[in-house]
Amino acid sequence: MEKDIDLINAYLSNSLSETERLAFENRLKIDATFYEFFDEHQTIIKGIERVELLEEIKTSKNNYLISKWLKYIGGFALLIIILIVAYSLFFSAQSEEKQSDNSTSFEFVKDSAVNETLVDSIPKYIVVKYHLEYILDEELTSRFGGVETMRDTIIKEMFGPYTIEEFKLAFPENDDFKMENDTIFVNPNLLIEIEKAQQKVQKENKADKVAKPVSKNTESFFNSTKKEAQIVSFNSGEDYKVTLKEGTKISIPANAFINSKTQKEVTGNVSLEVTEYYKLSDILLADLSTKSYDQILETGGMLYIEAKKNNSNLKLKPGKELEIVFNNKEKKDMQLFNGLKTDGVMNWILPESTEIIKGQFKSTSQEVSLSSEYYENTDSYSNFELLDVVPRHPNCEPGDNEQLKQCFNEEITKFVARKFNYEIGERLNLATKENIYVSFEIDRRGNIGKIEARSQYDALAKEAIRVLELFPKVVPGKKNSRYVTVKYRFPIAYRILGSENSTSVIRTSRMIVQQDSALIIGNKREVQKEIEEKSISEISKSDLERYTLLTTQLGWINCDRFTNSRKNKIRYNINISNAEDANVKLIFKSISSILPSRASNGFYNFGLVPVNEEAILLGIKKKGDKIFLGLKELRIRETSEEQDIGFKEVTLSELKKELKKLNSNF
Amino acid sequence: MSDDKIMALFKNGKREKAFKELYKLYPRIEKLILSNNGTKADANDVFQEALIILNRNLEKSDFKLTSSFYTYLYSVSRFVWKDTQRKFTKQELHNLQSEEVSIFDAVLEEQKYKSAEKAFRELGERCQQLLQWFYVKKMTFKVIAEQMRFKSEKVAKNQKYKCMQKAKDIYRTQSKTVQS
Repeated sequence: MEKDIDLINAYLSNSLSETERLAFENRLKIDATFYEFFDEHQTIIKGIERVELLEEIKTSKNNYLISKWLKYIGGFALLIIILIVAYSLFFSAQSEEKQSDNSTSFEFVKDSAVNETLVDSIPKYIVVKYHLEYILDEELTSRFGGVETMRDTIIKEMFGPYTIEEFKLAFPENDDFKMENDTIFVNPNLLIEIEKAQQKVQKENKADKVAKPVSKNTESFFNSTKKEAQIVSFNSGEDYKVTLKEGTKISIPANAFINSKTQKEVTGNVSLEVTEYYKLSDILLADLSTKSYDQILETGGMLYIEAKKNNSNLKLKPGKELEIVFNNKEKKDMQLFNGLKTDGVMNWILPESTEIIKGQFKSTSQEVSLSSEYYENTDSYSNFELLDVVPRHPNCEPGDNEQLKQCFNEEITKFVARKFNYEIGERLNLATKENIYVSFEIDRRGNIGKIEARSQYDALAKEAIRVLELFPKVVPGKKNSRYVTVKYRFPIAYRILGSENSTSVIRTSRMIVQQDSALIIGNKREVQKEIEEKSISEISKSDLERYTLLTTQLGWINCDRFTNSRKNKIRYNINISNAEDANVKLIFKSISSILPSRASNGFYNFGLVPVNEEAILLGIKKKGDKIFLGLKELRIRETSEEQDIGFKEVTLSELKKELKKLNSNF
Repeated sequence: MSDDKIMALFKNGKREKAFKELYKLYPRIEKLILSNNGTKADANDVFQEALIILNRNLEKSDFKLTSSFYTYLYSVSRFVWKDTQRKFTKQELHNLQSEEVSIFDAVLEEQKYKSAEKAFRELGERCQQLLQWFYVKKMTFKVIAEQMRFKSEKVAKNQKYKCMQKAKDIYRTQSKTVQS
């Protein structure tokens, strides 16, 4: 019997020779018992195969449903981006013209009523509508494949009055619109065209209207209240460390500066001018805010750094970077942003970090590979190859195992490249390439654990462990439709490039968060070494708990993190009484954030703002020589009511005093 | 995606992707079942069955898809549904075209496999795993022995035999109760 089974199995797997196969088939024809036995055996095997097939079909179905849904969401995302772009273009165009237009106002309605008519006396409007839809819980969604979405907001944006004739004249090619009562509804894709047409109209009308500067008064006012910089001068030929008044520590490597104009290296004494902005009052008086494009940031302190020699501006030499320790230790996951002021509003930008991957960290697909030779023989552990579904990184789209594996590899490579503290390698003076062998487990909940690393150098192994501890949760692997623990193993190839002069590698900010106790010890030793060498005594243990950020740029620097609030967001646009071009900001108490606004005809627009959050509206205006301050605490809600923030006249010192009172809120 | 591309996916072993593409046809099959007194759950089961039958046939060397995937899945689904409803009249069976006969055969065959699957699912977890590894994943007894902590290949093989025997026993009693 057992022999027969072997034979049948061999036949079914096509491993018989031609003669054997013919003999087998012949036997099936003449030996009825054998045929019956074979048939039954085959039936059972096919039944077993069904289990696998059904599982596959189920995943395929889910993938199909997900991709269907993703397309849908993708469409919305595109739409929202278009709207945001058009919207910002529109507003900047408006402030350029420095005039206000009665017909332009934005309003939001929360309510699922579609095609709500607008209450307005002007006969025809173009209205752009869209649904705001977003995922309720991204983590849950990505982990379980299910989808829970919120879709509760319809935003209408009105783009000024057009009669239907004017509309047809302006957009002769567009027939994708709908008339309803006093409103023309158009496809949002048309938005950009409307934009252009509107700008044209405004330009034509420009001659008729008197341009009025929006807030030149307050602008110059803020220039006068700006904090004074602390100036330190030092010999640029040596490494230099300085601790500023409010606790910021800056380390400058030797020969780090070049002249901005001549691009030549600077020697001798250089002066560094730094302004620290930790306190809310300081931040407000400098007219700063915490936004990165459309996203709200939570700040852990801002700096303005300038380097000068004999009144000419300097900048950092490519490849050199300042190490900055912010005086802030409670907040995790901070990143460094560079600031750029446009139209008087600060935008914080995350520096590009792709260069690091290109220049410093090399890892090809051969070097990073999933281990297939791992066998841990307990029921809960599984080898990657034996899994039905391999673990999925949240950034990877669902796909087949091969794709998921590859994507997982790419994500982990990127992650390590981004987070690895390259200085550790530099300090070790590594000659060429060092391999770090890393293994970890992805448990049934998708957590990364049991991280182990091996390297010739302890410091590299420790750094690898530290980096992987920061690795986000993933969707766990599956075996027999159960989540299982999976072992993952890969080498990190650490490569040192040639001397700095020969490469054009631009290294940008990298975060070093010291969480791991083993690492703190390592770093402490490092710090102690520095103390011995340079006899700087002010380095304390608290340094180790703070942020060390590296920058390749001077100017505005902010230590921030994205707020990532899952709360509902609304477009916050409010009417403030007696505003008269005041500079109005929205301060969030729970998160250290300050939002700027764009003013138009008494309306102040703050963009998307988390709802139900406690906030302070703060307005400063200047009329002639008089300063007025308005303050109001409120909870963010959708409202069309006029907000009175109670402007009252203050002296400059009173203003500063009032603002300092707010510092405890931050 | 065109039928050719889906066929290529099957040939390259990207079965899950191919199934995903074929699921685009599901709404139309669902309509068929719903209009024939079925529920959505029925439609889901029928379509699954149709996909399995399609896959089985594609794996046969002598099978050639003469129509589009849609037409094929549609007729298979129709047969599967009618079969579960037991609504074939003698006249109908008599008038089947040769193409249809082969589909009908396939549907009946699959019924058998379905009850084998049922029998298999009644086995213990370890038995299920062992049989799946050997027959579906085509793992060797050596690897299985290591993974499942059997003392030797021989023990693994013996264990497999026992599991298979058990499955057969369950299957036999099942079909007996069905027949009687």
